[in-house]
Parts: sequence; structure tokens; C-alpha cells
Amino acid sequence: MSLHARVELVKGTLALDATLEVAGDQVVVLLGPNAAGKTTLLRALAGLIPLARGRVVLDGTTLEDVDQGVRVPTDQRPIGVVFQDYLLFPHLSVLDNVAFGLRTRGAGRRAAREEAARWLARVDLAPGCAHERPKALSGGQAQRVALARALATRPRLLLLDEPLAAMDAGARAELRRELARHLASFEGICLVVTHDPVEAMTLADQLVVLEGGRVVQRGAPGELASRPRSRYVADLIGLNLYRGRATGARIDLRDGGRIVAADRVPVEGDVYVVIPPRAVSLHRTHPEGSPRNVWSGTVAALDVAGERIRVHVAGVPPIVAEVTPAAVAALHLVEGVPVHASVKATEVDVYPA
Amino acid sequence: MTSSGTPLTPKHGPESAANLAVVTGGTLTAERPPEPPLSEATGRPVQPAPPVRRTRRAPAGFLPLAVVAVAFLTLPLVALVARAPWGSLPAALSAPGVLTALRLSLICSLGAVGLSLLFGVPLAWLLARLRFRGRDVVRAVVLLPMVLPPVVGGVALLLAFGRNGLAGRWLDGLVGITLPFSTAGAILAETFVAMPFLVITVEAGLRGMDRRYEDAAATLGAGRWTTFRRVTLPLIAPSLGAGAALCWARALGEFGATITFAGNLPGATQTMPLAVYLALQNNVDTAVTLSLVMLAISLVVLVGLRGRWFPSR
Repeated sequence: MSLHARVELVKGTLALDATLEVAGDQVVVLLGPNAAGKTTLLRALAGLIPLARGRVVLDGTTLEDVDQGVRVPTDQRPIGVVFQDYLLFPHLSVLDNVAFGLRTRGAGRRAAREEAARWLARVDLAPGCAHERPKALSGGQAQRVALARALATRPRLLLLDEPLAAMDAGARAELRRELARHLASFEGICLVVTHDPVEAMTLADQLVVLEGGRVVQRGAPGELASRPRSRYVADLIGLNLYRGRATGARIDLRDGGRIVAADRVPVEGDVYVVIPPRAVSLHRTHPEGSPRNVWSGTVAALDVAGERIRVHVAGVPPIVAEVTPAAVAALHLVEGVPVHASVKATEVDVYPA
Repeated sequence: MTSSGTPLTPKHGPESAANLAVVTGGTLTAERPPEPPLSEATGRPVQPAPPVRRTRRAPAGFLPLAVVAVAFLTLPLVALVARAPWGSLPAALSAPGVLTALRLSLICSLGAVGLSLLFGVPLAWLLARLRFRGRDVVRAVVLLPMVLPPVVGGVALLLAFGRNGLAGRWLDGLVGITLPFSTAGAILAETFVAMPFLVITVEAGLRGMDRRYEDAAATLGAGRWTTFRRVTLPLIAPSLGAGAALCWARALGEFGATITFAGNLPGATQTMPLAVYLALQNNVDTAVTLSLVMLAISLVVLVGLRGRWFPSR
């Protein structure tokens, strides 16, 4: 399986210009803030929005090519879509919802229903639900039905738009595991839109970060998590991210301040600098000792992250430190208190921009 | 986390018992939690919001005016029922003229609904879904018969489809179809007057539906026609039903355009309203009987539509 897509279009204030390259049966997660164009990209691949420029080729079959004037209509594309709020047909039973795609592809009523029932069993939906109307389902059940409906037509490209967004936190973890299992056994390319980092990290073989209609980063989840290339991703992962210019081991940051890395930085010039918040120490007095990066600032905000407290320090540069509640108490850290932040040079990660 | 000893009362959770009581009980006032919750910030009891009780006092003078309106609308119907020759009703109903008129009325009005559905639904779809130049003009033209005096419609139909009319001449000469003074003509007259009601209702239904269901159908391999038939139509069924019922009621009561264009031939174009009017000249009892039949039909339609138009709250 392979997908090659170059999508350019303008919709409202969004100018989408994104390229996707997928080889093999991968799960690609599109991650990005609201209005980044994730859903629009999905809809464009489904053929629900025409491209202004570009092309979509799935497995060597051209689905759309603006230059050649090719455009396969949505109903003839080998795709399956799970919409954000599922869009189960309210006037059809659960079974007939799942059978819908089989019927449009020529299956008889009885055969389609039998096949639909098998799919409902595969997504672990209680057989009793089959004759209910979608309105009677819980959110988790509706999600399973939507997945079964999309999978039943055996698409080669499966598109899921925020599949777990409508779930409450409790059901989410369980459904995420379930979804991961179904996606792993899916024979084809799967594209998942989300703005939930946990969902992104657990489902993805490949992550594509979309911001303002453009791809700002792509790669394996681990790579993305350790080396973010945008403020959005860094914030999601909870890392301090800076952009600057490296000279030897010294990096002059674009927005002021200076960071020293351990050894000679392997690259000169434009770089990203990442500092994990746990590597930042806070002091009320100027610290003595080995840390080579020490600067002063004031505590701007505190928030709780699990068993740790994230302390936002306004300074040049600004930084987030993650410390224990005991440290916060011992140092009397409250908003407005002056502090010194220190970071060991060995904790600083630098990579080319 | 709260430092207060008082557990948070159910006021805060959507799943709380108090809220459920409101929903399931259908009462306006929530069951007050036994103890007021403590404010996290101050530790003092939070004042529970007073139960919402909107003032429902009408502006001065509205009540008597409304009473007059209701009286005005009901009095004629009461008079009609009061004047009914109940004793001779069965005989009057079985008079040959009555049944003929009733049968013809049903044929013509249902025919008009059929034509309106056949042509009106596609028209409503185009008006609701396509952007094209002159759409507003088309809509205005389509809706014009709603406000046009029906007699004027009859005259216009005569000039268009009469023997010497614009299209009628051609129809008469080449195809051999003569519309005026035929049942087909009566159906046409009723369609002309009633179709706009269907178009406007169905168009509103199409605009109001969530079009993403059609997208979902397309991703499941449904072409345009399948999508329309299996998704769009069922989703707009309430509008379609209401539109058809309105259209039918309008066609059933049609008088002006029918008598002008199709004439008043018993058995061919003399529908119920025409028969009522004619009967009133020489036999009031028959007129009242026919009127009662139409009133009964109207009531049935109204009751059938109750759920759609007047969601009982």
C-alpha cells in the first residue's frame, strides 16, 4: 500500500498546503492545534473538498490530479471514514448503518446484514444493539459502530477524524487500546486526526504535525517527542524549546538569552534547543557550582502536573521547571518571587533547524 | 480538593440526582440539596440560585384582544356545527351529487399532491442546494401563486393552457389535449396554487438538515441518487410530510383558480368547494353537509400534523 498526496486548497482563512507520503500499511497520525487544517486535509483526501492544486495517488491509482483533470468522486474512492461525531444515520438501525456501504456496493439485503453482523461482533458490540437506533447507543458504542461501518467496505485508506474526541476521559483509555488493536490489524493505510498527544503517541507509526495548513514536522513518535520543531509540539510534550544560532558550544537564542551546550555543537548556525523541565533547578540565591547555564527571573505561574509542579519562570529566556511540591514549599515559590534557574550543559539537546 | 468538611452537594455534577430529578420529573424547580454547598474560595455557603420562574404577564390589553381573536375564529365553525341537519345527514351524504363531488375532490387534490411531489421536490432541492444566478428570482416566481389571488391564477392558466393560450394552442392542435373544463384542468389549477406550499416546506427541510450525513453516505459508496433516496429523503421526511399535507389541504380547498380555469362541470371539474358554493344557492342543508365533511377532513389533517408543527411542550 502506498499513498502519495499533495493537497493545496484554500478554505476560508485556511490555506492548506500539505504533502503526505506513506509506504506500507502504516498508521499516520495528523496532529495539530485547532484550525490547523487537519479535518480539511482528511476531507480533501476523501474527495469531499476539491483540490485547488496537487494530486492524490493511492496504490498507484490516481484519485485526483488537478493538472490532468482527474477527479474520482467520493463514492468511488476505496476509502472509509469515521467522522468526528460519527454521523450514524439516525433513521437506520445499527445493523443497517453498517450494512449501508455493503448495499451500495451491490450486496443483497440479507448478505449485507449478515456481513454487517460479523463486523459488529468484530468490534465487540453486543448483538442486542444491532436493531437499536443509533440514538440509543452510548458514545463508546456509537464509536464502535462507526468504525465497523467504515471497515465493512474493506477500504484501502481509512480516515478517522478525532475518533475519541467525543468520549469522556474514563472510557477513552479503554477505547484507545481497542482502536489501536483494530488499526494494527487493518490492511491498508490509516490516517488519524487528533489533537490529543497521548492518542497520537500510542496510535502512530508516523506522526505528521500540521500547523496553519502546513506540515511543520513529521517522523516517528519518539523522534518527534525528543526533538520537537515547533512550539505547539514542544508544549504538547512539555519541553522547553528555543530557536537560536550556534557558535561552538554557545547558542544565542533568537528571542534573547544564551544557552551553553555540553560539547561543541555538531552543527553551526540555525538550531533548535530543547531543555526538559526536569533538568531545570531553581534557587532563591545565585547557585555556586558546576551548572554552566544560570539566569534569573521571576515565578510567573505554577501548575500541577501529576506529582510534580511546573514552575513557569519569566526571564531571558523564559523557562519551565518541573520540581517537587517539597521544593516549592522549601523555596517558598509563589507568583512574583525572584528565582535563579540553572541547567547543566549536559542536559541541553541541540539539533539543526 | 476541598478543605471543607461538607461533601460537595450534587449541584455541581451533570449526573447529579438533583438534576436528574429535574429532567425526569419534568418540574421547573430543582429539588433543593439538603445543605448548601460551600464555596471553595470563601468557605461560606454558596447561595443557591433561586428557581427560575419567568414572569408570564402579558402586556396590557393582550388578553381581551386574544380572546376576541379566538372567538372570531371559532364562532363560524360553531355556527356550522350548530346549523347541521344532523337528522338528515346520512341521506344528505349519500346524495349522488355529494359523493361525486367528494370523489372528484379527492382525485384532483391527490393528483395535485402527486404532481407537486414529482416536480416540487427536485425544484426544492435545486433551490436549497445549488447556487446559481437568478435563484432568488426563481424562488420568488415559484412562490408567487401563494400570494396571488387564485382567480387571477385561473385567468393566467386560461391564457397559458386555454384552447387559444400560449401553450394550450399547441397542446390542442398537435397533441390533442384540451385542458380547460376537464378533470386534468382542475388538477392543473390545484397544482398551480398548492405546489408552492410543498416547495417552500421541503426547501426549508433541506436547508435545515445536516448535510454531513450526505458526505457520510458518499464515503460509503452511495452515488447521488442513492444518497438522496436512502439518506436525504428519510432525514427530511417530517418536512416532506408537512409540505405534502399543506399542499393537499390547499388543493382540496381550491376554488378560484379551478372555477375560472376548469369550470364547474359536475363529475368532471365540480370539486367540493364548488359544490358547496352551488348548493348554497338553492339547498342550504346540502351546503352545510358538504362543509361539515370538509371541516372533518381539515381536522384530521391538523391532528395528523400536530406533532410536526406544534411541538407540544
